[in-house]
Amino acid sequence: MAGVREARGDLHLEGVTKTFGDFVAVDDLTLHVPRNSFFALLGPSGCGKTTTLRMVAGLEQPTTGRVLIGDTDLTGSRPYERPVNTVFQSYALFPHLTIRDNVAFGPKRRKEKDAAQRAEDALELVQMTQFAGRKPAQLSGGQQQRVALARALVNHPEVLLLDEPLGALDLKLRREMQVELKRIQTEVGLTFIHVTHDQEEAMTMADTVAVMNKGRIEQLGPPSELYDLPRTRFVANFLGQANTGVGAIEGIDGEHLVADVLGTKVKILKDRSQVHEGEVLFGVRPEKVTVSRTQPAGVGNDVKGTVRDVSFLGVATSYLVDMPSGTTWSCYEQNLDVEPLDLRPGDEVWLTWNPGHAFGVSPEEA
Amino acid sequence: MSALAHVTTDPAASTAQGPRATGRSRTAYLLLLPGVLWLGVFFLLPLVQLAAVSLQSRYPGFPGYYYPDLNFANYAAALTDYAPHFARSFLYAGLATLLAFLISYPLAYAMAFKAGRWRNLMLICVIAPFFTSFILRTFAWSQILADEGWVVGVLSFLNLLPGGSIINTPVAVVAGLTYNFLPFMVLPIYASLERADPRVIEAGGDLYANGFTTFRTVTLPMSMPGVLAGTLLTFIPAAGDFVNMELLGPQRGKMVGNVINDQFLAVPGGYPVAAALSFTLMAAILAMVFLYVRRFGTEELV
Repeated sequence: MAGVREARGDLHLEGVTKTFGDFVAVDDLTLHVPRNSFFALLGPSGCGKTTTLRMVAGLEQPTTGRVLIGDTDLTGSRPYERPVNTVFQSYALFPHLTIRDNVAFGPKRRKEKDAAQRAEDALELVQMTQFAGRKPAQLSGGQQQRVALARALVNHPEVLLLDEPLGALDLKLRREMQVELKRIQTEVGLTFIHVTHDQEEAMTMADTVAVMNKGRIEQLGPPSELYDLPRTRFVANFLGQANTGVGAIEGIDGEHLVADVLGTKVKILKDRSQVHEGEVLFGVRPEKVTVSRTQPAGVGNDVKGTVRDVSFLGVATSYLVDMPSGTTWSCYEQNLDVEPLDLRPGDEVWLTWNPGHAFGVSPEEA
Repeated sequence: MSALAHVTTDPAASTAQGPRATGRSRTAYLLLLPGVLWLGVFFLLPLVQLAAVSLQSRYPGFPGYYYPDLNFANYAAALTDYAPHFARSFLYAGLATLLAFLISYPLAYAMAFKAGRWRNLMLICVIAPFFTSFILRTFAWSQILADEGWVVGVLSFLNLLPGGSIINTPVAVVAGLTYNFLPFMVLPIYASLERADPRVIEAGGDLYANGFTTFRTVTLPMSMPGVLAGTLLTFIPAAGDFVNMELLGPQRGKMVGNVINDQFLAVPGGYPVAAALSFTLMAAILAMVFLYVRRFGTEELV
């Protein structure tokens, strides 16, 4: 059989396009994933993230474009020739083999002499040693997930692909596995590419998140940056919550743009807005908004609204506030005060925020 | 906490469990009854009757009359006189099973993975022969394989047929058996391949197995339950079959099914030997199936 290609270094996708008939699944995608980083591809279902992953694995071939690891062009090579392994969404464990043989499958195909020992080590890494003699059907979803991870990790691939690996797990297990995956990635030091539609999962685990929509990457960067300063309307709404409103830019006030959003004048820092004239989608994150009973004095923007709903969450209280413009804002206040605000639906409140937290993006959906 | 403890140790609750449990098991037995009755009347009774007949002796001087006995000589006769027939039955059935497997697996594989929108049409083509009579289809083969037919014509022309004839040879019998039981091989293999998660097969490629290795180490083992079911469904009826031998086979060198048929219908006073042959055939097949399943069976034989 053909050997596995030697390829080391960063993963590059160069102008990769994949079409299925008339449908463009991935549209001229260029991507650079540094070696040993934890990279998340985040997007709604059908955005092309799984297709991208399958092209890296070799399970699909790009219609145009190239896939490289380091300087080695892997475009057109078969999955078994690539130093890449996948953790499938459905785990895809071999049902007829024991857990031990499932994990040893890769090393055996590569004719590794110590295949059995390596399988044992990999099972130990995911804490599944005591289940080595069982068949996959005898394990729970979480256990199968660990085995699938061990089966991929045992090969020390240059790139490990994870296709919604936590999607089938319940919330508690998912949280545990998020921490676990991060630990393993740090321990083994491989490039992880994690595909998910869960923005929280992507933000907790990844060093770099790429938000995908309709076959294109909308924005790429560290999670905090993406959250703080989204560059498109899609990213603003997909990654976390945002209070948004469309308005027209009326002028410039020093470092700020002034926009009229449904009757309210708001300020956005110039370098935090992607558009500088015409229509703008103004946004501010719920936790950046302060709720108070009286109009506060200061430099910030403020708007008067009416409380519609109050949810006490323990560490914080979440308010829904009806704005004069007719939209509803969500505000998230940490319960730090000795004397709580004690707001009830119907109460009039002032919402303020620091203009430095506001962002502006084009109101057009890409 | 105390309230919870009270509930679980409530004596009324535990006694209420008793009668309800027996009531439920009574319902379960009642629901089993039709099945048990069916098995008793249509399986167990005929089997006991057959066993009794197989041990009967003839009334001397009254051909066709028997009395109840424990005449094991019938079995001795069945095994000594008809051993070659048993051997032929198992040989031809085994060959037919092997051929059916070799034809069915690629067909089932193509249906499960490659057929796309032709899949249903292919399935119908596999099942359609059942719409006509088994006997008629076998007769059709006697024409296809006839000396004047095109199969023999083509093979003779290519000098591939030294004997000059297929019909009335064991080759025709094996061909007929293979053809007649093919759907029983195709369908279980197709079902097990179709149920296989394509991602599992992809995982083979992802883990450094090339196409052939993936087939050998992943696809084929995953379809083994279907292969096992298919070979059993083909071998068992083929070993007991007599129609193919009757219509396509030679005059001499029959299979055990033909002997049983003749003993019951043609030989006066042949009932006990026929019954003994039937029983022996059943026992032999059971033993073989048992060994086969022990060797190749998976825990989940579906």
